[in-house]
Amino acid sequence: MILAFALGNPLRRDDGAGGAVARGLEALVPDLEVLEAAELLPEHAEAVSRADGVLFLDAAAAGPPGEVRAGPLAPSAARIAVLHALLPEEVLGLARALYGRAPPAVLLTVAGADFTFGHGLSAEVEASLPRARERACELAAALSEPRPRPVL
Amino acid sequence: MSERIVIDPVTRIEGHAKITIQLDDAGAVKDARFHVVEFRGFEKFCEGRSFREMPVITARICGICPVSHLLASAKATDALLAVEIPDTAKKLRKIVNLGQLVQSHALSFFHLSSPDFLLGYDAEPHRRNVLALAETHPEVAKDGIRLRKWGQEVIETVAGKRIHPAWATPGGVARPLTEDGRDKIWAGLAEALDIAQRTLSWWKRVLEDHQEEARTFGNFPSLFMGMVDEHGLLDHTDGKLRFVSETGEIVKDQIDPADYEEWIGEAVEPDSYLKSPYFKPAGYPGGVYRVGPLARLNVCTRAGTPHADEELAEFRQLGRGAVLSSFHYHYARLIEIVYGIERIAQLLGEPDILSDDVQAVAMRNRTRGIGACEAPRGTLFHDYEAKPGGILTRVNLVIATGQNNLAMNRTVAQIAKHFVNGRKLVEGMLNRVEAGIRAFDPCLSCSTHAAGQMPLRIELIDAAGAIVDVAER
Repeated sequence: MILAFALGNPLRRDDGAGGAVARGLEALVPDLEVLEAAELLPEHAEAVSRADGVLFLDAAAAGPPGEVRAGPLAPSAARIAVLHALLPEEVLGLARALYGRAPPAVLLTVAGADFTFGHGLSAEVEASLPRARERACELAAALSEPRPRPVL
Repeated sequence: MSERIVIDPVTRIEGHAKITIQLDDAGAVKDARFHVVEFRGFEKFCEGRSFREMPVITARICGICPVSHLLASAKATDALLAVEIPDTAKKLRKIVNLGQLVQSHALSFFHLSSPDFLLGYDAEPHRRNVLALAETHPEVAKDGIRLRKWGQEVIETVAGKRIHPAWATPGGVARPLTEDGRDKIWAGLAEALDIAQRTLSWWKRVLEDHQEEARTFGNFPSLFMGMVDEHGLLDHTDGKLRFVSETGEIVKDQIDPADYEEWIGEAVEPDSYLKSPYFKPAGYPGGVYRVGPLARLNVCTRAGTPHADEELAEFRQLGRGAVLSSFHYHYARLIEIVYGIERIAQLLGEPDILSDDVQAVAMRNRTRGIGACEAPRGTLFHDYEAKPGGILTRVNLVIATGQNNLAMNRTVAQIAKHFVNGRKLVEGMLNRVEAGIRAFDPCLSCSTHAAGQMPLRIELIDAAGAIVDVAER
C-alpha cells in the first residue's frame, strides 16, 4: 500500500495544494490511500511504518508559483521538542525508531503564490494541478515497484 | 540588590507564556508570576456572527481540544433555541467528549510530561521530548501514540473528523452513529484500556521517586470545582457544578452552569492576558479554586465505572480530604483515561445509541444561552447573547486554564522557593518550575482565545532593570 499524505490547510488558499493534488488520486493509482493532515504528528509514524511507500504532497512557499518539484526523503532525528508540525523526514525517523521500519518516501510540492485566508487556489497553482497529479502517479507507481526506487 | 529571573517562553505547553521569578537582596526567591503573553480576542470578533456559526467558529480556538469548544458552544446554542436535545444526541456528544479526553490526556502525559519522569528534570533540554523517548523508552512512546490515536479515532468515527469536526450543531448532532462505527470503536477498546491500566500501574510504582515534586508542586489548600451528575458521579458533558473544600467537604452542589456568574468572578491582572477567575463568595484573590482532572476526582462521589472507581479509592489515600498536590494532576489524568474508555464502552452499549433521532429543530427562542462541559483541562463555559434575528451581541468564554491561573501562580511560587537558588541558575531547577505549570496542562491557545514553537529564554534582571544574565535554548 502506498500512503499519500495530503498536507496543508485549504483555508489558506494555496496551502491546500497538497489536498488538491491528492483529489482523485486513489482512482488513478491502485492500492493507494490518501490521508489528509493539516500537519504531521507523532501518531502518523505508525501508519507510515506499515506502508510500502509514502508520498508527501504539500505546498511550497518558495519557488515560482505553480512549480512542481519532487525529491526523495531520508529519515532523520527530530528537532528540539517540537510536537506540532513534524517534518516528513522526522515522521520517517520516528517510524524507524518506534516500529523498526521507514519505507521509501518522496516529497512532491507545488509552489504557491497566495497563502492568505480563504478558499480556492491561485491561477498558477490551479493550472499546475494536472502536471502535479501526473507526477504524483509516476512517483506512486515507482514506490509500488518490488524494489522501490522513485523516478526522480 | 533584588533580581528577577524570567523564563520566557515556557516550553511543552500549548501556547506562549513566561515565568518571572523575583529574588530578594539575598538571592532567595521572594515571589514568582506566571504571565500569558498571547492574545487572540475570539470573544470580540464573534460579535456580529450568527449563533448558528458558533460551534464551528469556536472549535477553531484550539487544535487540541476543539471538541470541548464545539460542545460547550453547541450547548449554548441549544439554550438559545430552548430545546431539549434527543437522548441519543446527548450520548453521542458524551462519547466524543470522552474520546477527546483520552487523546488530550494521552498527549499531556506521554508527549509533554513523561520525558520529565523518564529522562529526568536535569536531562538536556533537547532530549526532554517524546521523540527522544522513541530511542530510550520506545514502548512508552508507542503506548502514548497508540492511546492518543484511539481517542482521535473515536472522535473521527463519531463526528467525521478528528480535528475541528462540524458535527455538534444547535439542537443536537449532524449525523447518527453507524453500526460499523460502533464496531470500529469497540474493536480498539480492549487495547486502549490495557495501555491505560499498564501505564497507571507503572505510574503508581514510580510515584515513590517523585515525592519531592509531589510535596512541592502546587501543594496547597484550595477549593476544587467540577461537574457531577445528580448522584455525584463524573459527568463531563451534562453535569452540574460542585465545589469542594480542601477537606473534601461539599461547599456548593448541583449549581446549574447557566448560573456560573453568581459563583464565579473574573479578575484581570495587568501582567497577563489570562483572566483570573475566582469563587465569588470567597472574594478575590482568596477564592482560588482548581479545575481539571485533579479537581474532578476530588469533587466526585464516585467515578461511575468499575476500574476507575477502584483506582479512585486508591488515589484518595493520597489526601486527607481532597488530594491537594497539583503534581497529582498526572495521576488523576491517567485515572480519567481509564474512566473515559470504560464510560465509552457503557455508552456504546446503550440500546438507542444507533438511533437516527439526533436533532431537535427550532428557531431561536431566547436571547441568552449558556453552555458548559468538562474540557480535558477543566470546566468550559460559553455564554452568548443574541438579538432576535440570532446575531450575537456579546460572547463570554470562561476557559479551564484561566480558572487554574491563580493556582498556577501559587504553584510557580512554591516550586521556585523550594528549588531555585537565585545565585546559581541551573537548568533542572528551572525545568521544575516549568514542570509545575505543565502539570496543569495549560492550554493558552484556548484561554486567551495561539500556538507555536516555544524556545526558552531566561533573563536575570536586577532591581534597576539591567539584564545580568541570559540563558536561551
